[in-house]
Amino acid sequence: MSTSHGPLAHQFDDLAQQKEAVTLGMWAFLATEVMFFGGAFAAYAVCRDAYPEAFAAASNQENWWIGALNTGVLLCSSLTMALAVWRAQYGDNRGVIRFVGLTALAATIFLGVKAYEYTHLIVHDHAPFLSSFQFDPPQFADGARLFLSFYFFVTGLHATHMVVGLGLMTWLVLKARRGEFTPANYNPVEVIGLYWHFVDIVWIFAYPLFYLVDRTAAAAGH
Amino acid sequence: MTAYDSANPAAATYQAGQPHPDPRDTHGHGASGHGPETHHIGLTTYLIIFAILMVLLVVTVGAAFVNFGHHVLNIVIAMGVAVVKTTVVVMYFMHVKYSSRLTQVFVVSGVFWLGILFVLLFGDYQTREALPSSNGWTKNLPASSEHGGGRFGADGGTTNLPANRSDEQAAQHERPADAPPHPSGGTGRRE
Repeated sequence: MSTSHGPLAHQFDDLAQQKEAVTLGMWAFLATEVMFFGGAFAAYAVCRDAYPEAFAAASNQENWWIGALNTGVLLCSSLTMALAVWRAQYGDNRGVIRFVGLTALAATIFLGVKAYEYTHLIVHDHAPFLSSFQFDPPQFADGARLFLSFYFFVTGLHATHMVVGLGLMTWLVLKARRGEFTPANYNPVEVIGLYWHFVDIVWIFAYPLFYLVDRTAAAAGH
Repeated sequence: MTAYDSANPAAATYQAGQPHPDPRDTHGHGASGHGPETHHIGLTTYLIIFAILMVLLVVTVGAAFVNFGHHVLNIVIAMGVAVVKTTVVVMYFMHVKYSSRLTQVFVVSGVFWLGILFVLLFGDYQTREALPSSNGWTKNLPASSEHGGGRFGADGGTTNLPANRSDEQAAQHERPADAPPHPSGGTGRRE
């Protein structure tokens, strides 16, 4: 391949080095994301330790099975994204489009469910950023408001990451439609896959932390 | 853009722990072409990993409703399962099991740095009550928390329990002056 627009960028010696550099670049970014979400989770842990019963009361009012359904949907999206990378390794652009499309579908379902959950909370005056906030029982109101602040912040930040992911997936599909991915050049699929798996990992921790606080008292379920 | 000269690529100096491919191999075949991970992870593996993740999701939800005796066990189990799921996703979906050592160092570093954050932050709050000079930060939380389940304070949170409290003590127990007014208008205090 001696064209001036080959898959190898001029600063790299060969495709292996380019692939390694691209992967390391994404992991360096993901490390910063770990610190970003990790900081939020750490703050949540400290506050939960201070208001254990209020946080449990607020968490028990979340719909655990809707959260579980969403977790399942996101795990499916992780599988389909991994399969998109798998197809890209063989230069199967149609397969990439198929699996990235399925990933985007799962992501949209997740976001739709999240929109329903947010609406439900707002309508029931559980939105901490509105002055209409109230919580029953009232002695837990301060702690519950803090819990819900964390809930909206972390899941909102997570949802924002998912929307960005949808944009990246759109870009991938556009590239795949032009048949750009080959066994020697599929880095974009690989690293966007890394980003998406990270988004899944954040939710893997967020779900039990927000939805499953002290459910032993409600053994029959919500 | 500089044209890539396939007839004479730059001298091979790249050392990242990977077996370095023949620099004259311009089409990227051999070790670099498909990447080592392609030869190890097939469709079956991905499906098995997915099944494991779904099973662990069921375990997470199920264990949340089981009373293991001590309260702390539920959170330990929930986070333990989450760590296992994360490890599986990182190793197989994110190909880290088959990545170069350098990539693995990047991954571990991110987690290690988070560990530093946790150790220092939690160490700060967990040791505040232990210091004789400190007031314990939770003593200044709004009253609703102290009655709603706070277990902190130099007295271990037992002062304001009904059995340990006289009416005078209850009346003297004021909210901190700079706390925001209670949203529902009441104090949430048990009278």
